[in-house]
Amino acid sequence: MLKSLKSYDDLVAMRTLCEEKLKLDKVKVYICMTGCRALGAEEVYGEFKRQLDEQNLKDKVEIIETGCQGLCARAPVITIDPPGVFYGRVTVDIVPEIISSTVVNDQVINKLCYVEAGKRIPYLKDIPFYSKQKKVVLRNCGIIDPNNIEQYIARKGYESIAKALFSFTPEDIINEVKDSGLRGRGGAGFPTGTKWEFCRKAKGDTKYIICNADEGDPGAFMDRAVLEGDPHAVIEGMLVAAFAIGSGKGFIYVRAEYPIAINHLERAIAQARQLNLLGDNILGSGFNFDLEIKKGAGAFVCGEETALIASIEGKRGMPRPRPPFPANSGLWGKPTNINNVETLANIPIIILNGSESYKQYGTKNGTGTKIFALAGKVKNTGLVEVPMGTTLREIIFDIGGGIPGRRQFKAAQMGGPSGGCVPAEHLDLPIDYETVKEVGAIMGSGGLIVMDSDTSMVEIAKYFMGFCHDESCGKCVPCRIGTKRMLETLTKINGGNGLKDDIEDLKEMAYVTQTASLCGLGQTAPNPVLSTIRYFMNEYEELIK
Amino acid sequence: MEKVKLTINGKTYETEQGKTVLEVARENNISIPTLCYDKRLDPYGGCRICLVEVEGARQLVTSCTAMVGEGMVVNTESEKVIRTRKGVLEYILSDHPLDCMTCEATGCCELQDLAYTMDIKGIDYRSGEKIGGVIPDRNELIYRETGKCIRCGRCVRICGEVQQDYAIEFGGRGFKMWVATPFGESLLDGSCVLCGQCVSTCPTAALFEKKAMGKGRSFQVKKVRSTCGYCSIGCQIDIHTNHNGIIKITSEVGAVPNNGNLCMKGRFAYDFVNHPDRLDTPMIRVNGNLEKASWEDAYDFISKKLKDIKSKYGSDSISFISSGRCTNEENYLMQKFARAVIGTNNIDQSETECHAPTLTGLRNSLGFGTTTNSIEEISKSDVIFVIGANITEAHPIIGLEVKKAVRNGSTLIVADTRRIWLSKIAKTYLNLQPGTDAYLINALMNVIIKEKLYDEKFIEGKTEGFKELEKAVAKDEPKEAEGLCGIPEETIKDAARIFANAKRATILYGNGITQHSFGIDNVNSLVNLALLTGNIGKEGAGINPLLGQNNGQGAFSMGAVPGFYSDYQPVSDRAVRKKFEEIYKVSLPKNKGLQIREMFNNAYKGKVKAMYVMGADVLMSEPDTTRVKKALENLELLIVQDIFMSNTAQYADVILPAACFAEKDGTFTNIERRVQRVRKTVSPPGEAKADWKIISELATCMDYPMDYNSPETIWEEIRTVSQNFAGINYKRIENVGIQWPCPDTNHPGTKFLYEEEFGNGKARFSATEVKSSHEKTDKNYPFILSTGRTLYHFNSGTMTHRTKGSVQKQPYSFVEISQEDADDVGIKDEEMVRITTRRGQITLSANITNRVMPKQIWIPFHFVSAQANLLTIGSCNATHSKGNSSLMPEYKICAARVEKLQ
Repeated sequence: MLKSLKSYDDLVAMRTLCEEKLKLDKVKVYICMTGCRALGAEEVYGEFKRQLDEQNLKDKVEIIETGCQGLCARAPVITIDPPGVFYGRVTVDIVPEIISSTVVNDQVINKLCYVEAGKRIPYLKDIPFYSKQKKVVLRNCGIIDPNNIEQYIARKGYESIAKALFSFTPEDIINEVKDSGLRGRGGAGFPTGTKWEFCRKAKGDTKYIICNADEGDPGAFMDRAVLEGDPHAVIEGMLVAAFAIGSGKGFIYVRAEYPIAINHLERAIAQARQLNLLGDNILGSGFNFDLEIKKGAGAFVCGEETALIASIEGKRGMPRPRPPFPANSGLWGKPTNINNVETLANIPIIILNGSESYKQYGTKNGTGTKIFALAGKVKNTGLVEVPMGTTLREIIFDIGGGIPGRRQFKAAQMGGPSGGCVPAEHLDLPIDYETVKEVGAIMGSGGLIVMDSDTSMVEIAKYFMGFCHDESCGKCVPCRIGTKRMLETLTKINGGNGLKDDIEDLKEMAYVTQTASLCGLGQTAPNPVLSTIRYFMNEYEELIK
Repeated sequence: MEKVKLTINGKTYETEQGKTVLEVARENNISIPTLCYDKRLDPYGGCRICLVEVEGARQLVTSCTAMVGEGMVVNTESEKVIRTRKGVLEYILSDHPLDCMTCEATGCCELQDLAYTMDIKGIDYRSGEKIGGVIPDRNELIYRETGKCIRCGRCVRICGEVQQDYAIEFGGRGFKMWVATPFGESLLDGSCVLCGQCVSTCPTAALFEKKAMGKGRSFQVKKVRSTCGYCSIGCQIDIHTNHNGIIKITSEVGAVPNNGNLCMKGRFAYDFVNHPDRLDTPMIRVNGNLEKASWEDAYDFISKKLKDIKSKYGSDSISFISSGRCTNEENYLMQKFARAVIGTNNIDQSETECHAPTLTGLRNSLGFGTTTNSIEEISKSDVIFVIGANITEAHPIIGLEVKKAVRNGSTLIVADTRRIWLSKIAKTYLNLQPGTDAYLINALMNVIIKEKLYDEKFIEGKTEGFKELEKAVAKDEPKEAEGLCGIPEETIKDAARIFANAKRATILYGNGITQHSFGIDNVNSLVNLALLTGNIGKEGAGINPLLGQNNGQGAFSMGAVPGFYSDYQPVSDRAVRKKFEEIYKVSLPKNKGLQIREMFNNAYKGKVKAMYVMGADVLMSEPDTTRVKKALENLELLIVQDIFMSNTAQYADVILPAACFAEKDGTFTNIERRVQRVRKTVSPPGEAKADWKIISELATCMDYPMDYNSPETIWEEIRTVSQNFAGINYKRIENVGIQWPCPDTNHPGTKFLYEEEFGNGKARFSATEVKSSHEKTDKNYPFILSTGRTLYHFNSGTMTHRTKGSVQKQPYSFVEISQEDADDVGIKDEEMVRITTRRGQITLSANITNRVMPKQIWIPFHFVSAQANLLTIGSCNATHSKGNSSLMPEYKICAARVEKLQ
């Protein structure tokens, strides 16, 4: 049972204790127990535990169940420190050898090491996938045990909210966030501080804050990784936001398909409550705030703010026209601020180190870093965090290790079903909100799907249109019927039954759907079609011939 | 409201902030098409047809949701708008059967009209999959076909937002979205009340009136505006007819007072009009049997008999029962017949059995014995106090107003012995014990006075008798009321504070207040409460009795009561009588006539010899049926003028077949004092005639010529003798009814009473001593029985039992009983039980529910098969009437026994 923290001093004292615990002179085995579970991480973990027990090594070795370590292509992955080696494709059979060689004797097992250009790279710090990233939001992810609040606190966790509560006014916080240049990481890129300010200024005694964790783009798993790997960062971000806005109640709207994230959040919330970091009179400051988890029922459109609000209210998750914006009339008609997971996870670092420090990364239009979920035809699929302004080439080739086999890079699909395909000619484009838009895609939430020369772009367009068609809520005509008709036409073309007029028809349907749809889902649903027509018209024409 | 200027299509308009672009455009005759828009609903923005271009906006905006702003520049017809609008419409048509040639909605289909005006010719490239088909549903009223559904959500929204029944909701999503019922069941099985509001708002034929199908398109049928003949709200209806009769009833959005809303009865329960059971020829009893007769024979028979009885026993041996179901003109004629032709003040009607205490109580305290405020004001009240009124069933459209108000933030307090629907959305529900209303109200006032929450200025300036009230309620502590009413002390205090602190609080009460032997005390207490808090004489406030019958209000105000001529002019007033004698050209009786209750008592005793009953099934509606039957049997002459062979008619010596509301012209006065037109739409069956015609002809036959050639000529006479109606004529109420008082033709009518002053100068508190007088329960009769209305039937049921839907939804009677009691008695849901009281017994089906509290049972009074009034108490406690003609039987409470039928 954790002891309630009654003051800032209590928090400082606890941190000192937690730091001591972490510093204990033990070999640490970090096992990803989230995404890597899909390929047997639990069994590996079990075996480690059993072996250490048997070999009486418990006092010398500590196993840390972590969140995502990033290099999902090598799952299940573990890191052993010292000596700081990174192993992938770990199996149960090899655990005894890892213990005897690496854990006990600092010896590297070659076959488990990451290989690039035929060269083994045993140490994590030397692997380009890691060394070329800049982990700000993911600073704890893969390093701490997300189910242990002590480890978060040891790494300056909850210092930001303490700082906010005792040294800042809500207006100071809003200004700091505005100064940081942080923009919404959910896709639209709206300045976060300004959004908070709207809600702060909205009339009303009761205000709500919602964390949008309804991540749904195909191939995107940034938010899941953050929630699973560092849930307290999100909770702390919400606390700061709540303080800034003047909210006493928050909701985390997380999709039910993320059971590990929900589980970790539940535990994190329970621990934070025990420590009086959630609840009444937080850290003795007089500030009250508590959180509730709401599970989404599997509708992509509930990532849209107004649909998400309807869903929390118990209604059918359908968007409504704005204004009124949620900042003025949101959940149950009260002023409501909604931020995405990654946005909120940025907050503690901004408050902790100040906006100036935060701005050292990124571009003028896009400060800080961005997490991408690298997927598709790329060697190092996984979770990547880079400063804004990094080029696609750096992400895909330097960090991602390039295209497997002998095939060529063809395009990168950015921004999920709302985004577009960026062709090879734009590989050196420094990525930020505006530049990506210019080339017909969007930054989106961070999904990045790599396509090689074998990929059919019409097929891709059809896939995404199918996705939007399935996920359309049905409320507005252009999205409900438009996605259906466009999907029908794309299916026809892809099946070799296309007619010459079909492309013009597609363009007109895209125009109507974009122009007339109620929410972002319909308004952007034609993007993959339009961007593939723009860059890969030849592929359409070949199919229609 | 702040003014803003905006430009639409290059022209500048000034308007008020808070309006939508669509509203302003339509006000200025700029046409913007819509499909998902209905004024009654929250803007939805789903169909995307009303998109317009607003300068500076990132996207096209839906004009139904966009609020006007200063300097806004709007283009409703730009190339972009037209291109997009057309595209969207083509999308809709691409998923539509396009079978207009056989579609029921052709001619009244919003989609068809839009496709026509937008000049859509052929939809070539969108010839993909179409979805949906006819949904089989065994309900008899509402047809559902998803293929024609454009998913505008109007049905779903009207069901949720307006009706708040939530019987339908969108199921599935995207292209496969459809309007669903829970688990795909029939509308009969869920929370649907078959109001057909969904049908009324459907822009296509995806929802349609089953009974109207195949009977003619909108352009082939006749449509006549009239006033609904069921409850007292006076909903404006459009009756659609073909050569065979009525095919459907609709209402227009914007119509006053119902704004296009109708309940199940108003919309669907018209089958009785054309029913083969209708009386279509006069009948005279010959040798014990009723035989068909000509009108001449019937008139001669009646005339001779009445004359005989009058000369033998005197005028006062004859009694007249007029009808809250008939028009103002007919009620006026009936009282004129009684007074001028026969020479008796023995004229009354069955609304008296519901609201005599209202007439007396409100009149004595305030000036007029009627509703103070209007229906539309309910939504302007901060606090609504509903007591003894199951509004959502007995007055469904007022129920919608209450629901709307609560949805928009008003606070609702409900006091009822049953857990009625409104208790679900009430902030405070006062679940009181039967017959303890006055205790409760006095306790509320006790708190308000003790905590000084009353309106001192109002009391000082506009009332008298406050000191007496203060004294009277001082002892009615909420703590004591807790024991009597069964409501926690704190809840009573809370309710008192909520009510007293409201800027505008309205009281809505029904028969639960009045139908007690001490109903007058209940009414007086409520008046006191309203006065105490200054809630009389202002908008959104008032004290509003919910009269039961369509023209109960008119029956009272037209003089179909023993003590008053029309416009509540007392018969005891010599000057008044003189005025009427001059106009009626006969001398008029000055003695006090009999109230309906006394008529039956006197008939029972043999003192009343003849009775003329128009439009009332007294054998069903009067308490203690056995005694009433005896009274009827005692009569030497019973004349029944009705549309069906009712229970009462079976005892008649002469039957006169009458026209129903759809078959005659005239006016009804609704609950809010609004005089509204009733129009002849179809012809009466056979030889049946309008009541006004029958009365006129009979009077003429009895040597008192009444040569009215139309109801309008009768109304003109009413105007001349009734000051508060003088300003109302047929021309003025052609489109919208006018609320009396309306003294001259320039007067707009009166929305709410007593804005300037009270009828008697000052309003009077009437301190009431609360009493308990109801029949006590004992070992043999351990339950308290109460009776009342349901949504699907009306009064004695002669109309609704001959109507599809009503019967399907509620085919037989039932008794509501708690689970606890059902277990004690050993009965299961829907098992047959026998209910016995000290007066009689009936058998019916058990309905186990938590709507009633333990030791209480409740029965609807609509069923001939289980006549609730065989059980009720007929005698009135005259000591409570204080001689002020509010004799009221103890309808609502009697002791009863429940037994399982072996």
